[in-house]
Amino acid sequence: MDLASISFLILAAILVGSALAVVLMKNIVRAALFLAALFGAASGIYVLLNADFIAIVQILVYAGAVTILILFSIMLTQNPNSQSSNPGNHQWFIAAIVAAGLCAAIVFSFAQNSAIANGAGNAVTAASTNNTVVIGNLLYSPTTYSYVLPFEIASLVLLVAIVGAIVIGRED
Amino acid sequence: MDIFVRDIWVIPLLPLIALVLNLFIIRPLDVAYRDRSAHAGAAHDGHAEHSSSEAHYTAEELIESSYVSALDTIDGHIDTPAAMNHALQTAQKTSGGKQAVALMRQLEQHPEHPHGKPTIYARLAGYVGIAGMFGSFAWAIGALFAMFNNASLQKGLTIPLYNWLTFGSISYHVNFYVDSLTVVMLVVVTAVSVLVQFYSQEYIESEEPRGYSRFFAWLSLFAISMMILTLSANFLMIFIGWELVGVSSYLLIGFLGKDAPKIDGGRPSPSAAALKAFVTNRVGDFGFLIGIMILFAQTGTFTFTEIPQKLQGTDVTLITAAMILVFCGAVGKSAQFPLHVWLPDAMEGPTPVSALIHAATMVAAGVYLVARTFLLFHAYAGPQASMVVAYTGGFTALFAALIATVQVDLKRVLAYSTISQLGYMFVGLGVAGTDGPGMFHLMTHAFFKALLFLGSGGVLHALSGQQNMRKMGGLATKIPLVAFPFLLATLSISGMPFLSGFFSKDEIIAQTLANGDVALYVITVFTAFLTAFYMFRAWFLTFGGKGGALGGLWGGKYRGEVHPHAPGIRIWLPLMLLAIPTVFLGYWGFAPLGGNFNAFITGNPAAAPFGNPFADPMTYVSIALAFLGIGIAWLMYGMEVIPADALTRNPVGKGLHALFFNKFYVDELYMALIRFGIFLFAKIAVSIDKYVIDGIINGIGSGVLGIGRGLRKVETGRLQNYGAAFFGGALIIAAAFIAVVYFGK
Amino acid sequence: MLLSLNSFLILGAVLFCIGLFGALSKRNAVSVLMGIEIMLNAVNITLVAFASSSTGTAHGARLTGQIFAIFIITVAAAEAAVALAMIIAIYRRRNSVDVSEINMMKW
Repeated sequence: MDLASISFLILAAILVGSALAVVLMKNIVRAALFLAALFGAASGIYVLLNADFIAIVQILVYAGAVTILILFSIMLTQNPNSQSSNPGNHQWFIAAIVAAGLCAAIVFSFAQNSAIANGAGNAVTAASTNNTVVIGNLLYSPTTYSYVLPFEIASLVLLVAIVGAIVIGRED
Repeated sequence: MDIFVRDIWVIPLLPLIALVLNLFIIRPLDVAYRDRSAHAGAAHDGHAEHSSSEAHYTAEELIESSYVSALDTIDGHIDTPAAMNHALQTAQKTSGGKQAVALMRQLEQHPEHPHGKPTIYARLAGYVGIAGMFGSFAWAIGALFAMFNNASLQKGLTIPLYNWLTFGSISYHVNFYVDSLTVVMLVVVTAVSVLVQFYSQEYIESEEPRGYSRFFAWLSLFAISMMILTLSANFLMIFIGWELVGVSSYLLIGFLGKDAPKIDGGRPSPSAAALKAFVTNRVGDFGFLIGIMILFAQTGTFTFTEIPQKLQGTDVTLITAAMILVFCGAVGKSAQFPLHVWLPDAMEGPTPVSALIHAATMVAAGVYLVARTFLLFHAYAGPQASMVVAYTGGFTALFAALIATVQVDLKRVLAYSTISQLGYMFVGLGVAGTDGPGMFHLMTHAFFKALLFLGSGGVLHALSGQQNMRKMGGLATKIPLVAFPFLLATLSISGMPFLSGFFSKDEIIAQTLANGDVALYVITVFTAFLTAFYMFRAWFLTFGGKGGALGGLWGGKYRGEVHPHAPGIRIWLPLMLLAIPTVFLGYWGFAPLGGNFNAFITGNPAAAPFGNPFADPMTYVSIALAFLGIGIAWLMYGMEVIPADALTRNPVGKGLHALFFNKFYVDELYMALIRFGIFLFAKIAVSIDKYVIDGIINGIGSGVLGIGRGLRKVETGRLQNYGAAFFGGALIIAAAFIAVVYFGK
Repeated sequence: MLLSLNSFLILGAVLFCIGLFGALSKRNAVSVLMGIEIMLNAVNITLVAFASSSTGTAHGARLTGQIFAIFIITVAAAEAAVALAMIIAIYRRRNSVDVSEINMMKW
C-alpha cells in the first residue's frame, strides 16, 4: 500500500461521504458546505491523476465561485416559514431505487469488463512533465491542432450566460 | 399537304396557346385595369352627382325601400350611372352586404356606365381566342384537303405523342389518331367554334361584360377538350377529353352565375343547371367507365385499333354488355332518353355556348364515340348492341319532338329539337352498315343547329334576353339579317328538299327501311313530320304571324314590350356564313353529283354512296309529311286559320298537351324517385350511423378518452418526475443489456 | 490494484448516482442544483481518469479528456450562474423555490 493508494482511499471516502451528506443533510447551508468539501476532494483526485491544471481550476471555479454563488442563492431564497430547509419530495423512494439500480448496473459492468480493469492502469500513476504548458498549446495554438474555436465559443457561452443571468435575475 | 395530317397536334395547340395567354396574362390585366377604371369612374361620377339633387333624392328613396324590392326600385327610378353610384355608396354605408352587391351588379350592367363595357384587354382576349381558333380551323381544313388528295390518309394514322406510364407489360400512351372521321369532326368543331367565338364578341359584351375575357378563356378550354376527345387514339384519352368537355360545359353553363337576372320565372338558375348537367353526365360516365374496364380486362389495351384484334374469341355476350355500357356514356353526353334531362336546363348558359356545346359539338361527342367504336358495335358485339343504340335513338327522337311541339321557350324548343336530331344520328348508327349516315347527319346538323341557336341568340339579343315566344312575333321585318339565315336553317331541319338537312335525314330514314325495321321507319318519318311542325311553329311565333307578308311567313304582329334593336355585323355575319353549309353541305352525300361521303368517312373508296333520295319512292312520303307539318304550322300560327287551341279543347288533347308541356314529367319522376330513394337510403344510413358507426366511434372515443385520462396523470409537468422516468428508462435498458450480454450466454 | 482506471470510474459512477438521487429527490431548487453539480464533477473525474490512462501518441491525445473537463467546468460555471438567476427570479415571483410546485411543463 503506497502513499498514492492511501491518498486515493482517503479522498474517495471524503468524496462519497460528503456527496451523501450533500443529498441527505436536512439543513441546506450545511449541505452547501459539504459540497465545498466535495469540490476540494475532487481537486485532490485530479492531482492524483496528474492533472494539476484541472485541480487548480477546480479549486478556483468550483470551490471558490460556484460554492459562493450557491451560498448566496440560499441566503436570498431562504424562506422563514418552511419547516426544514432541504426537504425531500414524494418520489424520493423511486429516485433512490433508480439511482441505486443505475449505480449497481454501472459498477457491475466495470467489474465484469476485464479490459478496463487491467488495461491501462499503470498509466494513471505514471509521473509526467508539467502538462499545463501542453494544455495551453492545445487550447490556444493558432498553428497546430488546437481547440481554439471551441474555446472562443465557450467564451461566447459565458458572455451569453452573464447577460442571461442579469436579464433573468433583475427586478422588474 | 400531308403535313396537315401528320402534325395534327397543331390544332389543339393553337387554342391552348390562346387559353394560356388569356388566362395568365390578359385576364389578370383585364381585371387589374377594370378595377382602376372603375375607381376613376366612381370618382368622376361622384363629382357629377353633387350637382344633381334629383339623383340624391332617388338614392334616399332607395335606402328607404326594403331589401327585397331594392332591385325593382332601381329599375324604376335610377337611370343615370351617377345616381346608381351614389345609391351604391349609400347602400354600402347604411346596409352593406346583399343590397350593395345587387346594386353593384345593376350598376356594372348599365350601358352608360364606364365599365359596363369590356376593357381593351378583354377585347384583346377575344381577338387572341378567335385568332387561335381560326388557325385551328385553317389547319383542319388543310387536313381535310390533304385527305382528299391522298386517300391513303383516310385509313387512319396514329401520331404518338408520349408514353404516359408503363406498368409491366402494359403501357399507357398519349397518342393521337387521325382518320377521315376525326378530320370531319375537327372541321365541324373548329368551324363552329370560330364562328361562335366571333359571334360571342357582341353577345357577351351586352350580356356579361365583366366576364368577357373569362368567357373566351373557357371557350378556348372547351375547344381544346373537344379536340383531345376527337383526336384520342384510345379509350383513356377519350375519357379524359370526355370529362374535360364536361368541365368546360359546366363552367360555361354556369357562366352567368347564381343570381343572373331573369326575364321570366320558372327557369332554373345557371348554377343549378350547370350542376344538373354535370351530375347527369356522371350517371352515364359510370357505365362508360365500366364498359372501358371490361374491354381493358379482356384485351389489355385501350387503343381503338388494337382492341378488335385482341377481342378474337371473347364471349360475345360480354362484348355486347361492354358496348352497351360504353353507349351509356354516349347517352349521357348526347342527352338521350333517359339522361336527356340536363340539356334543356343547359340552355341557361349564354346562347353562343348553347350553339357551340349543346347543339353542334359536345352533345355530338356521344355520336362520335359510337362512330369511333362502330366496328366493335357491329362486328364484335351481338346485334343487341346496335338494337339498343337504334331504339334508344328512335325513341328519344320521337319523345323529344313531341315535347318540342308545345314548348313556348324558343331556346327550349331548339334544345328538344337537338335531342331529337341526336336521336336520329343514333338511329343512323344503329341501323346502317357504316357510320356514314350518322356522321353525315352529325355534320349537317352541327351547322344548321348552330345557325338556329345563334339566330335565337340574335333574337334574344334584340329583345334584351326575352326567350318566351309568346312575347315575340313578326320579328322577320325587324331583324331580317337574323331572320333570313334562320329561315334557311328551319327549312333545312324540316327536311326541305335540296337543303343539307334533307339529304342527311332522309338517308337515315332510308336506312331504317333498308334494314327492314318498319317500326323505326314509322318513328323516324313521324318525327320528321313533327320536326317540320314544331320548327315552323317556332318560326311563325318568333318571326312571322298573322298580318305578315306571304301569309304570315315574313313579319307580322309583335307581341312583346321591349323594342327590338338590330344586331351588329359580329352577330349577323356568322349566321350568314353558317347558312352556306346549311344549304350546300348536303351535296357531299348526293351521289348523282358525285358526292360520296360514305367512301370518305369509311376510308374505303369502294364503299357505296348514299342512295339517290329522289330515286326512292319512299322519300316522297317523308317530303309530303314535311310539307304537311309546315302546312299545319302555317295554318295554325302563320295565317291563324286554325286556332292554336283547336286540338287541346277536348280532354284528351288537353291531357296530352299537359303531358308534353311538362316534358312527360320525367324531371318530376326523377325528383320523386331520388327523393324517395334518397330518403329511404338516408333513413337506413342514419340508423346505421346512429347505432353502429356512432357506437363504434363513440366507443373508440370514450376508450381513448379513458386512456388519455389515465395517461394525463403521468404528465405532471414536474421536471423531477420526467427525470426519474428518463433515468428509470436508462436503468431498464442497462438492465436488459446486462441481462443479454452477461447472463444471456 | 487500487489505482487502476476502474477504481476512478467506479468512484465517478458512485458520485454520479448520488448526485442523481439528489437531483431527483429534493424539493429545494438550490439542492437540485447541488445534485447536478455533483453529477458534473463525477463526469469530470471520469474524463480526467480516461485522459490519464490514455496511451495514445497523437498530438494532445493524452490531454483531450482534460480539455473536455475544462470545457465542462466552463459550461458548469455558466450554468450555475444562469440557474441561480432563475432560482432567484422564481423565488421573487412565487416566494418559494419548491420545484414540486412548479408544474408548468404541461399544457
